[in-house]
Amino acid sequence: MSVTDEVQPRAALRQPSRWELPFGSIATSIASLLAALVLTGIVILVLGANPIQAYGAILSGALGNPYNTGLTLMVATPLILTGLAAAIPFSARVWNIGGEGQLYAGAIASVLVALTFTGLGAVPLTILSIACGILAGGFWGAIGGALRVFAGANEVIVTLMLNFVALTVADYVITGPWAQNISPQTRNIPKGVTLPTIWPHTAVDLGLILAVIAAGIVFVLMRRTPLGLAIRACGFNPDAARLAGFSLGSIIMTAFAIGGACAGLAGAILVIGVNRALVPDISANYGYIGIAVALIAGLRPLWILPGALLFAIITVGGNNLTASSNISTSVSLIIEAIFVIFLLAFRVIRLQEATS
Amino acid sequence: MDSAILTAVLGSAATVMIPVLWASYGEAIGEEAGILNIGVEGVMLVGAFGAAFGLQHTGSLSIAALMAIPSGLICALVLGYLYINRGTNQIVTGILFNLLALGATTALYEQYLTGAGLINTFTPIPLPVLSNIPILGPSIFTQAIPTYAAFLAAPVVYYLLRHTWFGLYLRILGERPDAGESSGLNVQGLRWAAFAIGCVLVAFGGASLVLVQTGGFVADITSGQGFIALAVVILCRWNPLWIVAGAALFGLADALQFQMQTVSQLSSVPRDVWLAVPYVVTIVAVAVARRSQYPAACGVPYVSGAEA
Repeated sequence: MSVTDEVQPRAALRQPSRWELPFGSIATSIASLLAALVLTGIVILVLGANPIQAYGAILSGALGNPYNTGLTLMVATPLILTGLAAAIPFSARVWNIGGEGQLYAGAIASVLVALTFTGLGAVPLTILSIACGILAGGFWGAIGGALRVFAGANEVIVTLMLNFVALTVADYVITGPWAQNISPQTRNIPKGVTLPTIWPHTAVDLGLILAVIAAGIVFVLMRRTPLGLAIRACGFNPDAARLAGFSLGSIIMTAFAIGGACAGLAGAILVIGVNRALVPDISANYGYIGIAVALIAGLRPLWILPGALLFAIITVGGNNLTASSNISTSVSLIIEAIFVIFLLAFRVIRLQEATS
Repeated sequence: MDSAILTAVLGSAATVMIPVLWASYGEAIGEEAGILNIGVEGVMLVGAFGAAFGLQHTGSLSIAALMAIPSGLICALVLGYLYINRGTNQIVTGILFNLLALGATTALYEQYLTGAGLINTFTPIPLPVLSNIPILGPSIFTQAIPTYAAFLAAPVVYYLLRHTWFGLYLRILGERPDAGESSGLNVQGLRWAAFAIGCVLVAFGGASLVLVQTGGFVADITSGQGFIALAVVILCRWNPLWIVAGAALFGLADALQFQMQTVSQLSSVPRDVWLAVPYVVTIVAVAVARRSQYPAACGVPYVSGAEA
């Protein structure tokens, strides 16, 4: 039996009505954000800085000038995709904690393709590299789904472990035959393989458009296709879904594969766009923060866009904290985590309703 | 492989496995009681920070080790309130707690402990008689006190879980909390007790990382060791005696990645292969062994029948 098994009655994701915000009532959500800001404010006081000043620094650091706004959009890009990577399997009520590993799988595949098939033209190679990143992420996700479906393995443990397997593979690629031997990274990918900048004088590239398109596709998939219906049915009530003729196994596999593909795209974008190579720590916990993004979006694909933007603002703005308030940039991580924990504790986000 | 290398591998493995071992005991106790704490990584991190903080301000290794108790209890308070009282989804709550702990310990470390001069670890103490055994003597029987304590804790935790009323009650809560409540058990209270004990042990795992291996704190010092503990616990099916073997597997793999570079026949194997072994073994074990299943109510929040 798995973690989510039926000792107590199966409880589904609360079905939201059409006009409801994804995170329940607006008032409770705002209260949660305020409570998170107050609690983090206390932490900031303990660290010896002025909370109001620190929050100002976060806002100006994230949105103060076009360049920083560009950075914020750049960070939002992988968060949108890892948010989708969590949201799709979560909608089927299976737990994909493997966004981080799926992102790395995508990054590894795209860098290897870009370094290997240099004979192709720049544009075909870029497309091939991104496609292979998506496929590798999807494959990495599908492993978790397959082991859950065919072996009854606990998907939380399996996807967590797959994260570390992907990390060690990435370490091998970085230090092994593809090493640059100057700094710890792979050789740079060919010059022509690139994502064009879409906002001049900032770092915003085509990756953002790809991520938004992915969110749009997932929205259509989840809301307007039989597959999306099947995934949501599996989340609402697996027994009813099975009796209604859905094949739960293939639904779960597909949900994991599509989720993994989104995370894989994030990895490819990070390699081809900003980093130009596979570097250690290419993902700043994006896989795990993506889970938080999916939660504040109520697992809804389109709400993931503002959710990822909010978290990107906090993350990028946090980088300004050391310069302006002389406290750690990690304070942004505290705000993000506490905010979502409050949403969970106030039952604004309800993933399963405990009944006995 | 000559005996010098073997000694080095065994000695290093016995040291490296200790944080995972303590964390696995703690996690196993929580899971037996029905709490799947994915936040174990964060609890270890807080434990490690607490120990480094205590060491910095008192200079005493034993006080630093005892800091695991308040560190573990603080984590238990936060997580227990969410898991037990609020009944939040344990998987996502745990992941979020890990992010919170990473952010908080990194921020506090950068504010209070960077450049901190004091670095200290427990010195290895050779056991009388046993340390004269060739190979095993200078490796396994020449270790620091928290290491010996970790091995000695295995039978204690085993006894607690399998041969006391407390352990029996915990397993009832892990399988059928409703049945437990019907027979008069205080489900929430017992879960709180088990979880608090578990968190203190996990925090001690983080503390021993600092006090036996590194001597000081750095950001993200645990780097996934808490997740390894999750793997060890399910791999060893909540049996504290097997958990020692499971943690040793991880310790050996970690020790081998360094030592194998010096063995000519194996030096061509990339060190990442050794590093990946434990994770792959866990995946295979969880997939192959159908008995590697969590207790039925593990991860399921419980609401008393009286309240519902």
